[in-house]
Amino acid sequence: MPSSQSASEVFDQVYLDIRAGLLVLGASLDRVDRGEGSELIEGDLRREKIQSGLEILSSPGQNRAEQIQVLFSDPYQSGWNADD
Amino acid sequence: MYFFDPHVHMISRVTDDYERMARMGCVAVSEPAFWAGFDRGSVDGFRDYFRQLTEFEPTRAGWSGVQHYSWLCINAKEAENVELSREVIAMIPEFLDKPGVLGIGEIGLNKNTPNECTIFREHIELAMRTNELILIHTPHLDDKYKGTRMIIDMLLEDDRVDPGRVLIDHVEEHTVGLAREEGFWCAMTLYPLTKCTPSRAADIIEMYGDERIMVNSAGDWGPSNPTAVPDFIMELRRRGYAESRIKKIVYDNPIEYFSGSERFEFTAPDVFRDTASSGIDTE
Repeated sequence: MPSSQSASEVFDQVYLDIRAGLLVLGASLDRVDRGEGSELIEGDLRREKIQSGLEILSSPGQNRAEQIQVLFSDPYQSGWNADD
Repeated sequence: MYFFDPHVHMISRVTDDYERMARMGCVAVSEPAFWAGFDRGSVDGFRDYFRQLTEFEPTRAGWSGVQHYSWLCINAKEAENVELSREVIAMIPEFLDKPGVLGIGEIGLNKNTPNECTIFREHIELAMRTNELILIHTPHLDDKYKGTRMIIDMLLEDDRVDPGRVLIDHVEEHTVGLAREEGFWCAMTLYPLTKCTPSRAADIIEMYGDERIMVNSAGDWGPSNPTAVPDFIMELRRRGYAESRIKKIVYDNPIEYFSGSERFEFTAPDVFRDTASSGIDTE
């Protein structure tokens, strides 16, 4: 069920949303860094995941959202139920 | 456009929400049993809850001309109490012949624990024994991917399970493909912060198609919006989708899946008449 819109039409529609989203990200990270003890956050696993998420955003491809979902997911072990 | 919200916890919402939903085109809802915000202490607590779901909520919905259906279970959060869970599962058949009960749900996993798996499998056993449809809750955040895969593993353990009679809910970008590959129905939940936004749900439709998929608000007592499905409709309209294609997702697909229950008696809105009492007595 592909979209009937061209990439240009889609981009026109989402440009301000993306711009706003980037500002939310930037302002949120600034707020963390202004806080007392911000250096401790650098070692926080959640901060590392956010950094990895930002790298996914800047990479090419058509499944960035899925990659970010997997980044924030617990690992799955196949065969976990073999002995149940 | 008429729509069917296939997953909304109206017991947590006020009567005005039914009215607002009806004004925006909602003609029917289905309400799975879920967590009340606290762990219930006895099987009688669940018995009263199931009476409310199957007796009073359909009446209250009818005041706004909305048709109400329900699903029964003990949810995954309370499944850690295995003894109570087994009492509830044994009691559920008392309600399975009530009008509008569509099946067993929303069962599933929450923190992916062994006790949750035990009770999930026992719910499946009940559904297979009584030939009921199944509606499945998948975990919320980091545990969703692992939990969804574990749920599918457990469903595939049982040869009696027909994927066409199982709806896996709360799918997102990383789990929708897992559900669809095995032939299950699936649903996307439109939430303000977690789960899907209307635009991401529309993206998933564009990537995976409109077969065996639906959208819901899962409106409940937490941050949620019972009129989220109309937001999704508006998103697809903005993208230029024909009304018939939108209707398939928000109306036709829920009806097709729920028709698998012999107790699904749906009256199309063009002939539906509110037969509820004209007087509303709240005392």
